[in-house]
Amino acid sequence: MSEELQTTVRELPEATVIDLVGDVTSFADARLHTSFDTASARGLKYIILNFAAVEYINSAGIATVISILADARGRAQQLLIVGLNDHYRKIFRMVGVARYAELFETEQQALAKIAEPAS
Amino acid sequence: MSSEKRIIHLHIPSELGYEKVAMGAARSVAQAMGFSNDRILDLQTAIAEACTNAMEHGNRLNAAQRVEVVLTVEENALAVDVNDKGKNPQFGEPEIREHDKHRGMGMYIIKQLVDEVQWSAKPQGGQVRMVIYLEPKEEAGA
Repeated sequence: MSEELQTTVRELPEATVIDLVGDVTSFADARLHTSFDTASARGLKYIILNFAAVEYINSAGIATVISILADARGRAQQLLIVGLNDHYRKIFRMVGVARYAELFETEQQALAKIAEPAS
Repeated sequence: MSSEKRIIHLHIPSELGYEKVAMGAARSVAQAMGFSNDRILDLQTAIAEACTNAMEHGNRLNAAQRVEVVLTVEENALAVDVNDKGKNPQFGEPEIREHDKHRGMGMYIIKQLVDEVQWSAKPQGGQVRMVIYLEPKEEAGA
């Protein structure tokens, strides 16, 4: 009944993107952590988590995202979240995820932010 | 859909993923009642959290035990009861333990998304009652 999460790690010059397809629930925990470890091992500062093809996220899935956020901070890497619809952007802000990871509507907006000169 | 009170009963297996059946039914009913899409999404997320909580913590993921979802159509609101078979002697809002913090997050999300919510424990199991109004309460009273 639950749509199993599929992930693809995509390498860009300035960031590593994890594309998610399916549901982000408790079933996604192991796959998300494995994909994050793969992306993190590339060593770039920025990792983009792309939710554009995700239709259902629950609190267990959000807990996994928070766990990955903590891992990223521990490795001096920064997670950027893109592609959430309006409803899930509201939920992510509601539970405080947005305090630790910037949310962008699109991948292009996240890449533009990365390209900005550091102030 | 007339304003006459109508009641829909669903019985879903305590197997993660089946909460989507309740989400789909709630969407159909809420659409027919004239809820906005934003309110329907809020309702669906709240129902999903209540159902997964009932499956995991009430029925201990025993697929043979059903979670009962009751949608009650009222004149200006939709009430949703989610009932499990958990034998929890504690009344009121469940205590959150360290190992399942996401459960606490789920309950917090429910509180934020619906207009009224009440947790109760009965001899036959736990219950969450949620009510969402066609017009959010603060706007209706403005």
